[in-house]
Amino acid sequence: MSKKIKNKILVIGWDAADWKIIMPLIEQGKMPAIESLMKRGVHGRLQTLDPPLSPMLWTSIATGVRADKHGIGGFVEPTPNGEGLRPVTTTSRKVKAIWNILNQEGWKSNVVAWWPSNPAEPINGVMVSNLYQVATKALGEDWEMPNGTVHPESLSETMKEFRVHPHEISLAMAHPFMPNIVDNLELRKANKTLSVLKTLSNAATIHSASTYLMAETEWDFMAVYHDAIDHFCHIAMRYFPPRRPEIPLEDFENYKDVVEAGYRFHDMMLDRTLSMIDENTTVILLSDHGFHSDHQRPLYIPQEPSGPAVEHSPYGIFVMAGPGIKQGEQISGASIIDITPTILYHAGLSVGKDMEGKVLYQCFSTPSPAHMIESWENVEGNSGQHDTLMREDPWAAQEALQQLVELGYIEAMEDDKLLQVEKSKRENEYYIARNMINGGRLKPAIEILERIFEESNVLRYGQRLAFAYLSKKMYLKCQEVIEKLKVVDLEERTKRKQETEQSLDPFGNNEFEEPMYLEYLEGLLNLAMNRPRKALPLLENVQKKNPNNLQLATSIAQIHTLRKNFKAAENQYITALAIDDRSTAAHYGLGLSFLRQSKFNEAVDEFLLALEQDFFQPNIHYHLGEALVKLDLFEDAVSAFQVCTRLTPGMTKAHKWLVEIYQNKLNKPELAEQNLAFLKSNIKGDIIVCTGVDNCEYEQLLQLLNIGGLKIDYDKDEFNEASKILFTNDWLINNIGKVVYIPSRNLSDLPVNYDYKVIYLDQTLDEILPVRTSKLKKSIPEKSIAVKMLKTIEKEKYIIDLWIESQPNQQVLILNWNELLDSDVEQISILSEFLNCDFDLEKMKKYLHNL
Amino acid sequence: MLNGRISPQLLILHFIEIEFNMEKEYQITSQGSLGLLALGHVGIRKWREVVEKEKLEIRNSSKENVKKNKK
Amino acid sequence: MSVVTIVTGLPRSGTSLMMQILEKSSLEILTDGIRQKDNNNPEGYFELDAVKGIVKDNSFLKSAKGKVVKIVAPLPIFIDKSLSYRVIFMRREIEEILRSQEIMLNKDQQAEREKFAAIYETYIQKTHQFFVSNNIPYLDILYKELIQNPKNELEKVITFLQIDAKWQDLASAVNPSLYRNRI
Repeated sequence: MSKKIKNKILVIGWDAADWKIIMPLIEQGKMPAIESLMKRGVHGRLQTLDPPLSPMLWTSIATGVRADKHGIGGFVEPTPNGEGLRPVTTTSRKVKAIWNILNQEGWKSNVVAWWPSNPAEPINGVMVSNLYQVATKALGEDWEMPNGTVHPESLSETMKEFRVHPHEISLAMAHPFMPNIVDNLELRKANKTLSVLKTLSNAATIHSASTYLMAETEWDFMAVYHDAIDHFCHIAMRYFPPRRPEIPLEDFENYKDVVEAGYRFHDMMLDRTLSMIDENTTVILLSDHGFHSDHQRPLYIPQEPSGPAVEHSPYGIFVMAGPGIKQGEQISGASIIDITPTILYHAGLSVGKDMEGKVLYQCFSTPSPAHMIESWENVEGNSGQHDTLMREDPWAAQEALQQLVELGYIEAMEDDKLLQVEKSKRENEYYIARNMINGGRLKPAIEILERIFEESNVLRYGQRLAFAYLSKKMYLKCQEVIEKLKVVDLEERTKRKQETEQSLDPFGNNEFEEPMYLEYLEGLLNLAMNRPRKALPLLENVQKKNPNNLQLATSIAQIHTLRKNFKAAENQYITALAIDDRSTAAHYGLGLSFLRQSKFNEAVDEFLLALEQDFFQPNIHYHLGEALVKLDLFEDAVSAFQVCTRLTPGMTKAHKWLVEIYQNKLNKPELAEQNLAFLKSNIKGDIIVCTGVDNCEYEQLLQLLNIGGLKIDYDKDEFNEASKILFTNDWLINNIGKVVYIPSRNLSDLPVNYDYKVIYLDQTLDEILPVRTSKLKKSIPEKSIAVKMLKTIEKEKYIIDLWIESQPNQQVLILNWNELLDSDVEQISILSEFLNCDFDLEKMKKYLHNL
Repeated sequence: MLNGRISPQLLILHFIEIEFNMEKEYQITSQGSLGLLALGHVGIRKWREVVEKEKLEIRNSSKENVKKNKK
Repeated sequence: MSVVTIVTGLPRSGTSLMMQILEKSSLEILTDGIRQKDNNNPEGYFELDAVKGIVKDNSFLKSAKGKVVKIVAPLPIFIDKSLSYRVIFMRREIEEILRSQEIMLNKDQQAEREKFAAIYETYIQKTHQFFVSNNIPYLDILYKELIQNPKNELEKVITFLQIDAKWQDLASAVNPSLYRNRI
């Protein structure tokens, strides 16, 4: 057992709290408690995970891992007796939470209303579950607490006292939220009003339970979770000023103060909490995600489970103050899965290597490396978790129960209930798949999405699958799914139109105002496959109906950048920043547009703004260095390139710049030599690889590149040499800086100690098939050969796709032969940019015209 | 009645700040306030005491009226 | 006698066989004969349809006093705890159970075996724990042993249930060729 730290740790969760609301309130002096906390500690944005669903996120916060590891995959789970569904419980969590680890180390903990925390775990301390505050009866009736609400059971009666019933909320308490409530009797009875009062009473309940425990129990660690801000926002963010045209004036006047009042009340509770602890207690205040409060508020809520999550934004808040923490500083790069590793580090405990989050060293005044262990799951001890027999995967258990039904041993569930359980299971798997994609684990996510889409034809599963294929560069598969989605989408729309009448309510009932995702997908696919001419009109069309979509704006900007239309790119990035001025990608993109237009000062400004949002981006440091070189600020350029190489030691071009600057600008030959040595020892050189299916026009491509100015020693013997790469790759050393052709079947034999730029020549089956069949004897029937050839060609394409997607950080350019013939200037400039060389454009154009 | 040991922040009623005076006492009514809720378990208890007291007074007053009417 | 005798175990662990064995004794079997014998259980299932609804309604157990009723695991955790019980718990290798279930369902569940095995282990442990926590006496009988060496296992059953019988009387129910659906 490690030595217990004297200082306490208090974690407060404010679900959905967002800096965009808090900062203006601080400036107006309306949130003094959080302001004081920020001044004596650090603060910053906290990146959420996808999907931004609270039970998954708060469990990730408490465990340091994503949902596929911690097991909480959604809002509901099947009941153990197979009778239906229930809210997700603690027995479904597969790993230890922070309080379990601290329990093993002898800490006393109080946990209040965490999501999920029912049934309360038998920790050394007090746990009050998230069912505690839920009023199940009218005021005056016996308001029982469900089993497992409070641990230890002996405190249950005591804790009942601190619950505030929604009907206790008086007009005086409600007035700051809805000033008109005093005079407007109808308003008092409205459903929205009742929801506001219920949310307020829940917050008061959780707060009074936590102040009681803070005052009356001994504790070393405490975690309190408030969901009220999220609820206030879902109820009333649409009424938050400024009023949007579609919001009725009366509703706006009635509810416009709800959100602000909610935040201010939380600040009051925080003030009280802070008055009950000393300065040696570390306080962490955080939220799991933000909440759109401006022009990014969605116009409609999708009619699907967890539809309201579209109102969530990707960044929550993070504040940390206490002994050993820096003061008055802003930090960046924090994610919700970093919280548990950071708490463990601060508590003087080891961090599990299996935790996906990292320690936020940037918070600490004098950090030192954390001690790591393989996993806290391997550490024996009294963790305060439920008995192992209680803890099980509820979905696997439900499948086992279903097996008993099929074997004839228990009654089948009613069909509608069974259907509901099956639908919920698929929905949970969909959330887990999204979480995996968010964590970069595309392959298992794709397996899940393929299965559930096949089983159900639910559109959003297919959409996500298409996006996953796109990210994995599985372009053919992506195209297939898009075609299938078109069919399914049309069937659904036809069916819905027949069944329902169209409504014009923008908040949830207009089922036909879809966000044009199919066009969007096709646009992105064409962009990924280097077909900017096809991609641009698709994406621009989608943008007309979705002017506030950030990713759309940046994608369109990327197309303009590819086409060297830097002014148009600049305009799009400015549009993107008008949507979200904190977008790293948009600041970076704008910086690049300025750089390419020789507006170097503006470029530097934008790169610095991008780095303020996210410092750990090597490419931004690289281009910042480039811009600084253009401004003759060589010392600063060196700093930028050095950061770049520290973040990505293998970035040879950054090392090359350092060599250039040290040798020719700063006259520091010894430092130049260091970088040269690095280049010599690590990377043998760059090689340009052309590939494609057999019988593609690679010979003509090589000729084209040669005419353009690249060195190609190509002849038939060279080709034979290339195919021997399976056995030997020594010959590659003679081709550094040159272009080689590698057949698709030999791509995986390329050695790793070169930098490759791969040009994948993409031709349609119709173009390749005649070439192949023409090489065969005429006596063989044409049709059967064509079918066989098609399959072979498809397989070769698949091999290339597979290799590309398996290469991390691989530079690949897909060159469509027809595009090259049709838009020669554009495609040649894309080639030039990709290969970082200046071609003889006229000669290349002439060659292509003569083909 | 609450005495002057509470931080000024917590006595914000309807977000209108009132001046805090060590000698001044704060009168809790049955309507309560957000400040009382923000005080946590202490505020809830004090407020409910006042609410219960008021209810008792109303009940007693009704009984008196009934007696009077009977006479 | 007011004690309910339960024969339990995972489906395909030999529960029907044990019911056949006990039928040879003086004990009364509580069954409604609704589920007929088939290829998977040529000698019959010896089940009571009301057991299927035990999660919602366990009142049928009142009529099981002094009788033997088959309740597959983990369903015994839903019994009426106000009654008295004794339990014969059939145990069989989970791999064999899963394969036997697959044959019965005519399904290939190889991909899910690991998952089901984990859940079934939990069912067994939960059911055991339930008996221990509620002071319900139980006897583990190994299916394989019962088939291959019936004398020992049957004598244990006789002693546990205090049956007035010899093991040979009950042994006729045990037929090795029925060590069935085991690959």
